[in-house]
Amino acid sequence: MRSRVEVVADVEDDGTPVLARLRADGALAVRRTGPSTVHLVGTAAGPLDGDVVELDLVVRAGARLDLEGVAATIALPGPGDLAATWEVTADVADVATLRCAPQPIVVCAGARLRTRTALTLAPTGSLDLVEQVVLGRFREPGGTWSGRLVADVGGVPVLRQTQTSAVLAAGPAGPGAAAARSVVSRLLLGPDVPAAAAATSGEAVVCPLAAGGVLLTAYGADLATALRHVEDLWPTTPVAALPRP
Amino acid sequence: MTAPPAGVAALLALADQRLPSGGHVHSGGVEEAVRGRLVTDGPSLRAFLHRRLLSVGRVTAGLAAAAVGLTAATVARLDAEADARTPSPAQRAASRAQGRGLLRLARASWVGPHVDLAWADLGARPHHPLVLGCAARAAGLGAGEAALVAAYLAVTGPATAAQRLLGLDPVEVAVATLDLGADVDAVARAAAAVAVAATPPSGWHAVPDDGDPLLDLLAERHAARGDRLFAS
Repeated sequence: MRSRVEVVADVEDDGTPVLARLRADGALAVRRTGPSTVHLVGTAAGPLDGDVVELDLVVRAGARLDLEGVAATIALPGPGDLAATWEVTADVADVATLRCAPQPIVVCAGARLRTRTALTLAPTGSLDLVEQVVLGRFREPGGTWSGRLVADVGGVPVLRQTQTSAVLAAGPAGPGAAAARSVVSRLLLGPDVPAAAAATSGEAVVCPLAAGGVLLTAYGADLATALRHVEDLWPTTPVAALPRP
Repeated sequence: MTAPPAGVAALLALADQRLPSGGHVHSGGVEEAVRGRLVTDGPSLRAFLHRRLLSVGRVTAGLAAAAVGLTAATVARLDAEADARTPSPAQRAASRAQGRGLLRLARASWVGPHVDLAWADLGARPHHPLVLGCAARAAGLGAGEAALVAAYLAVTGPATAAQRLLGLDPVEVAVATLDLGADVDAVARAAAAVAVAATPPSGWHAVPDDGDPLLDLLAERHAARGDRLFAS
C-alpha cells in the first residue's frame, strides 16, 4: 500500500496562518487541530513490509507548522521481500518554523522498516524534530530497522546519520545493561537555537553540530527513560514554546 | 632525488600503527568503554571493534575513498560532509587532530596529492580520512585501498589502546582484529563502491553515514573527564 501526506503551511499578508495544501491518502489521514497544527491519524494497520509512506511537508516563508500524531505507528511484518519505507521530506523556507513530533514508531518482531527523513532548510528556517523508534512491543524482540536523518541548511550539509537496529544490537552489552530497544533523536536547527556545549545524561548525549544546531540522541531499554534523559539535557524548546500567531 | 613512496608498500605504511601521525594517543572510545566495563576482555573487545567498524569504519572508509578524487574546489564540501557525519564534537576534534598529524607526515613524503590539489588546500586541521584519501592518491593508490586503510584503522587503533589499557594478551588482541578481517574487507569494498559511483560534490550525500549513539556518548563522557589517558 502507498500512503502519501502533503501539507503546505503558509501565512497570509495579515499574519493569518493558512494550510495551502492538506491532503492524505492510503493508510494515513491528517486533521487540522490548530491554526498551524496538524495531527497525523493512522487509518489502517501498518505499515506492513513493502508499504510505502511518504510525508511531504512544506513550510513557506514566515509560516509555521506543527505536525503531531495521535497514536504510535506499528510497523508489522508482511509478505514479500521488501522492507516498508517511511519517508519524510520537509522544506522549510526563511523565517519559517517546522516542529515535527509524531508519536513513536514501533518496529514489531519480524517487521522490516526503513525510515528516511530529509530536511532542507533555508538559512533562517527553524526546525524542532523528534523521532522515536521502539524495537519490538512488550516482551517481543525488535524487527529490522534502519533510519536515515539528513539535514541541509542553506545548501550546507548539517547532519547525515543512519542508525540501524543491527548496530544497536551489536557490541558488548556491559554489566547489567539491557538491550537498546528505544532510540530517540531530536534535532534542533535555526537561528534561535542557543549555543550549547556537549553534555550527557544517562544514555543520552547532546551534540552541538559543526554547522550549527544540536542533535540529541538517547537510547535505552525503554522509551520513557530515553525521553526523560533527552528532556534532562534539553527541556522542551523555546522553538516549541513560541506563541502561535 | 629518490622516488616518492608508492604502491603496496605505501599502503602498508599508511595502515601501520607505528606511523608517527599521532594515532597512538587516541583510543576511539575504548578508554571510556573500559572504564564503563563495557570492554573487559578479548570477546567484549572484539564485539566493540565490530560495532565500531559498522559505524565509524563505514563512514571513514567512505570519506577516504571519496577524498581520493578530491580537488581544491571540492575540499570544503567533503569537509562539511565529514562534519555532518560526526555529530560528536569530541569525535570531530579527534578526527581533525589525527588528520593534522597525518598531514604533517604526508607533506614530508609527497609533494602533493595530485596536480589539482596541494596539501595547503586541505587547511590546517583536515579530517583524518580526507588526508588519508589524499595520501593514498599521492602514493598512486585507489579509492578501494584508501577505504581499506580507513576501515582497518577504525579497528586496529582502538584494539591497540585496549591492549594497553587492559593488559590483554597481544595474541588475543591480534586474533580479535584478524578475526574481523573479512568484515573490514567488506566494509571497505562497499564504502568505496558508493564513493566511486558518487558524482562530487552533490553525490557525496550518498557516502555512508552510519552513526552510533553509543560511540557519541562514550566520546562525550570521555571528553568531560580530567583524568583520561588517551586524547579520545
